[in-house]
Amino acid sequence: MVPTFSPVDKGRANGRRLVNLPAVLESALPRSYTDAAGRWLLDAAATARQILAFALITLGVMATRFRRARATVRPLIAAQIARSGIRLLPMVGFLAVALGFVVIGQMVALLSHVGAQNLVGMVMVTTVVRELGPLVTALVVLLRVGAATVIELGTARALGEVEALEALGIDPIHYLVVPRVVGLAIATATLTVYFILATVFSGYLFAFVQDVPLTPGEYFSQIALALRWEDFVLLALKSLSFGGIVAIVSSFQGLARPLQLTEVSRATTNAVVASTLACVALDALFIVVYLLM
Amino acid sequence: MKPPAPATATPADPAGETDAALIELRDVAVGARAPAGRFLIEAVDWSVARDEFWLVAGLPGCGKSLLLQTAAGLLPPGRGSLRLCGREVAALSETEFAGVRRRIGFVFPDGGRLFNDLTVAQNVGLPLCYQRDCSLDAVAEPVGELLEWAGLAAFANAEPSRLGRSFRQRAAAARALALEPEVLFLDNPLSGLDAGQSRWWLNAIEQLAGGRAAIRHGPSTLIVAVDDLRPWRGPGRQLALIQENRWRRLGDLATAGDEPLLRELLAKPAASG
Repeated sequence: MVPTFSPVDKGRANGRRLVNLPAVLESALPRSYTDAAGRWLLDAAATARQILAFALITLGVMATRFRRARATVRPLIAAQIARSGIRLLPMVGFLAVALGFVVIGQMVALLSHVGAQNLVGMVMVTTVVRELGPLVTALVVLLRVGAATVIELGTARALGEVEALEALGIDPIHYLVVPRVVGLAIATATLTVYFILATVFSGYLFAFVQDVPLTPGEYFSQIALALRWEDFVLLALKSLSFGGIVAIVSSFQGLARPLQLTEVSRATTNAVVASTLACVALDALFIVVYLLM
Repeated sequence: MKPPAPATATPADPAGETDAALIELRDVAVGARAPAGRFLIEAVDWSVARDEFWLVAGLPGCGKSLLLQTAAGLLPPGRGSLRLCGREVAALSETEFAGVRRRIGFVFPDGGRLFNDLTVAQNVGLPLCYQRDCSLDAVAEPVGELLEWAGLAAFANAEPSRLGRSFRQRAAAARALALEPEVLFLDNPLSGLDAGQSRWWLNAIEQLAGGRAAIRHGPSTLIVAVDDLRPWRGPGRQLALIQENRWRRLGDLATAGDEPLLRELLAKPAASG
């Protein structure tokens, strides 16, 4: 027979709860940890499955209602592009210039010092075009727009606006989620292009200030030579996917259930964590594609 | 005399659709199943014919709103059969169901759940713009007519959050009427309103029921959930009561029997929520 331990006694003495210390020490702590880890993994898997189902439903609605209510949905998409693209341009530009100065400029200077100037183009393409550009831009969009999306949609759900849309014969996914997915995907892709251009230019500016023996013509021709057509295709796919992931995960966290005021912060954190993990996981898949190229 | 429903509001009637009952519930269970295995309302057998005016009465919390949302097709029944416009809902495809749903209007209580990021006119015009795939300018005439009916023409460009609850609910009614539904559900429309606003609503509902409302193609069939029956006395109103998880049809309100719950609802103080 398996003995049962109760770390906390049911009874109370002098109004204070008794903790059964020997029972705590003898309890199967490692098993508790594995139980907790298992529960966390199962929860994470269930959430991932729900988000995947939500994404498939959204894609289905996008496909089947592509030509429906365009006069209503297009302004919503434009509003999302303005909000998550145009309004974020100054911030993304600042980050790009800072990254160019701090990282890329130093790297160019270092490569020049060791006589490896001919690798500048390849390094720039690998780090900025393939990796940092899409990922940093997606994180900025996630923090500035994804978190707000959770709160907006959570509030709309709590106020019964989703049911109101259904009562008017309007598909809530089509009206609330599709514009966000399309808008954020386009905005993230566009911002990524601006981010990469600003990083490349500011990187050379820093190298120029440090008197690196590299002419602008050499610098840009190396980058142009290092770029392949696949880079453009994969960059577009990656940045569009990142924007779509941020929109879908944020919308899911906002709409999954009516949020109480106290749950908003947790749902927002969940959206940020899940979006980041999903983007990084997708990034890993793209790395495999790059390695196979 | 009420004008006939327009062709645009009514999709082509598929085979099998009958006009006998617009809404029909057979042995329907409403709400979530409790741990004991019972639903909030059990065994609803209800048939709503065209041009009928129904009052669904019960104490607050008895499940009137859930029953109305289920009967309007917004919530799936826990059990039983739901037929809307003569068609079994469970057998409809998503597109067919959307078509049937557009023939049914619903006004939510407590402000009507307007969209706060749109103006009042945009709220009213949204279902028209969405279904007809056009801009707000293209539907300016029907929207203006509905706003005029609701007494909100002066607030067309106002944000809903700047309006009082009664005006928001009027805007919600105008929005629900935009698609020219055949049936209109109103969930506790007098809840929390003062005497003046209540008079406007009673008058508006009376006109809608009589086909005299100053709008085109108003609904001829009305279903209203109430928890205070005093303002609703009048001829030609069918009454159903919800009591102790059961739905009961009492017939015409004017000739309804004398029973404790009915006496309580007819003597109840106003604004009980």
